[in-house]
Amino acid sequence: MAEAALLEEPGEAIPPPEAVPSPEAAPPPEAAAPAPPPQPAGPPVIVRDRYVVETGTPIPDLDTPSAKAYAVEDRKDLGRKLFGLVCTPGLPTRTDVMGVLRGEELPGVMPLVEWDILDWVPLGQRSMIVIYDRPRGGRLLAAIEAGKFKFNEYEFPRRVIEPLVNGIKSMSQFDMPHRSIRPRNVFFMDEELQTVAIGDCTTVPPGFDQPPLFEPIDRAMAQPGGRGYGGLADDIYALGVTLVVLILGYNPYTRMSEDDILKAKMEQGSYAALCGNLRLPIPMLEPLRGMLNDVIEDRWGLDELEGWLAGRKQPSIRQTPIPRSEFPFEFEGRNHVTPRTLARDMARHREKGIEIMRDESLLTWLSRGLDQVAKADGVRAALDLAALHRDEPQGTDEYLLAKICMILDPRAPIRYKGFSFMPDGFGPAMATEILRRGDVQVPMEVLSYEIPAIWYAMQTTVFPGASVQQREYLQMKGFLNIRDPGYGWERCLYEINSTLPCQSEHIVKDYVIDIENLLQALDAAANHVDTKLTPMDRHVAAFIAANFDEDIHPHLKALAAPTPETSTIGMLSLLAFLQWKLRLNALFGLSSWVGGLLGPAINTYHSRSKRRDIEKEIPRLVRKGSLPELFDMIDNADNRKADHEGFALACAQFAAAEKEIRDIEGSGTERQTKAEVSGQQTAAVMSIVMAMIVISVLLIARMF
Amino acid sequence: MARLPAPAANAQANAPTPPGSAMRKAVWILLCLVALLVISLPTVLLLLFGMLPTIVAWVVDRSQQKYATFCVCGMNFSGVFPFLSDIWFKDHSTDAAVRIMTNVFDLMVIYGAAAFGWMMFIAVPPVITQFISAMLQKRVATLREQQQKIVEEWGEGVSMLVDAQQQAVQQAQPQKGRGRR
Repeated sequence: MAEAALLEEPGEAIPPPEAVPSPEAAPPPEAAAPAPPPQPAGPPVIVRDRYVVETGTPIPDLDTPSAKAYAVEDRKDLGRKLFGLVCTPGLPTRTDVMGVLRGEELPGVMPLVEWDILDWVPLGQRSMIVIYDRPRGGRLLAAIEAGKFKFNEYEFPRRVIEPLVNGIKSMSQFDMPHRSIRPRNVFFMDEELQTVAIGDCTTVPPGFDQPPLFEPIDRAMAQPGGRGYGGLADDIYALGVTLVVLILGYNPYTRMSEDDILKAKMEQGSYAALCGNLRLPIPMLEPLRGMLNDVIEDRWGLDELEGWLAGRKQPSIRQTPIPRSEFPFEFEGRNHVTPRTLARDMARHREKGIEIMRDESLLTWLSRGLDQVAKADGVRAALDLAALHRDEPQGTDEYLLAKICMILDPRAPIRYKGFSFMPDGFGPAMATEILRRGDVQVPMEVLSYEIPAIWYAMQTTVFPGASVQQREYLQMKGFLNIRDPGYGWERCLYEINSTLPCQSEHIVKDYVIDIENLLQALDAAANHVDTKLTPMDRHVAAFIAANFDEDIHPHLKALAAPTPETSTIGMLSLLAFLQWKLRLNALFGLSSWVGGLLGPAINTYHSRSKRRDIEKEIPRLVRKGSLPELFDMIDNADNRKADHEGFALACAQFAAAEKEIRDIEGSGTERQTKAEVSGQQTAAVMSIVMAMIVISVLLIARMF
Repeated sequence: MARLPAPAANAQANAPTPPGSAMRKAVWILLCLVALLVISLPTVLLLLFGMLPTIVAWVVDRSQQKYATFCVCGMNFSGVFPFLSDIWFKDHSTDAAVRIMTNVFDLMVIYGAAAFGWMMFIAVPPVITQFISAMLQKRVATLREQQQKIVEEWGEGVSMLVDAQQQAVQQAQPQKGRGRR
């Protein structure tokens, strides 16, 4: 196997993660069948008024699997050689790491000069660029392959291992693992090929670009987005595999498939599987055994590595035996001797896995073949519990399969309906699953059914961050259970992927990762989107809720109201609050957009004359670009009070008039009778008055 | 402010006149008549004979207010008074009174005046009724106009109080019906 591998050409032939094009692993240009259409090169783009990104000058040699490299020029230092990596939009980036590394000259780490978001013509949208000092010596592996860099086993630790260890140490000082250590991500920073540094790790989620070979067994089983944040131990493991390739000067595993490598690692242990048949320098065997130890607690740390580099003898390495069955368990044409490999295959072939998990032969194999009665009991208990919850999600075959896989291999990633992730990598896993495959259902089910809680319950060792992660999962479930705007799966997406750009269809091309830029992006979007749509869609609301520190619950509550008028006022109030709190300048486009949607809100005023006044006033405020003023006009407390009071008075007046009308019209014969009586009374009075007149006149006539 | 009459007063008003009281009243009237006959027999004769339409109207008019009686009485007295003044100022004798009462033309004047009073009682009420009706129609039109203006300014919602009252009435009616059954 290894001999055959030794004949292979060097290079990482392992396919890139998911559908991401992998320039690193791409075949040479002459071998490529149809040439990809050239991306249109736009004019140079200036970043932070200093760095000129030459869109017409790509540097394919420095591409990463998920980011394309372009030449960058420093306008303040024209002699400085830089390059920029343009990230793939839709992937969360590691801005926390960028913030730490920017401007720092850390030993063993490629200096990160600057990062920013720019209009990227080749992609037709905005994207993130991370600018690094250009490694003048190119990739270390390429130098070895080309014969430009030659070393012997005595020089190797000082010239290669030490700077790489320093790089890992530099990162660990900030409590941030690198998670992208692989042979093709190691560079010579100088033309003299003296200074070695680890390359980029910020343009993708942790471990996303890593071929599974360079990941520890558990993380390698997860999908690229779900490999997890990881830690120092994962970097050291990746360093171990990287060193194997660098020592040999080529990748000895190209003949083996990813699956075979992983199976070999699981059955034999990483060290035995990777180094067992290779001719490696004897002094290197001890550190490799330490770095490739599959038990994290026993894996070498920085102290051991530095001690070894300093020539100190290290304590003997304890090798934990891998439990193997006395007789194999056949599943899907493979004979399994460890529960890890079986669990992995069951998760990959779910239909067959569901069939076999209820088979008595599995329990027999576990209790007799592996002598792991506890695992057999665990599987039996899970089956019994599922029978009790037959009509509930906890009783479904998929849930049960995920649980049994966890019982068989507690350290493996969570695998549910083909969605596999380490518990500390749910965020990027969810992001890639939703944004690339468009599947929301499975991550939602994972949260709803609290599947990660099973994983945590299975762990026998305590690890840092577990309680925080569990609390986060519960919080996410809480968000998911609320269907209102600002919650739901969108909220979970932005809460656990703090660097994910807002995915609202209005502004997805604007690559908005900061709340400060959200309103400007919506302001610009007002010029090209259908302004009959609301700017506050579910993604925008969730993005604000996840990234804005102020209490916006009242706004979200109004936004979620079923009536369009309350919802519109909620939308305006939230946008106005944002503009006011963030002290943003005039937003003419957004004001105009929102102003055109205020019909339902204006109609909440009862007074028609007030409505006309507001409608006349809106264009003036739109020209000012002030959402707070617009909101104040729409929802002014005094105006509202006056309107309510006026309306109440009008209701009373209307009712009084109606009562009087009904009294008049509804009286009928009564009114007729009253009128007749009045007429009779009038006739009587007239008669009496006439009599009085006649008497008076006659008396006067008689007297005079 | 109008006040409801006290229950005791109501009871007194509606209570039937005791028989002793009616007798007392008749005695008093008889005494007054005898006294008047003694003092001024011609006047009493003329009044009794000339005011016969009024007495008839008093008997015929069953209403409480006796507007017909007042109407006929006023005009009837207007017809009697010229002849009464003749007796008082010229010849205050029973012959003069009898002469007037037997003169057809004098009687026509007296009873014609009474008839005019009755005609007034018949003709005036419809005119007044029409007048009041026209006024109320005008008032209704004014109120409708006011309501229209209120609706134009405040929308159809202002009628919600009225609608609510109507609904309450409609809901109450079937319940009453069921209660009766």
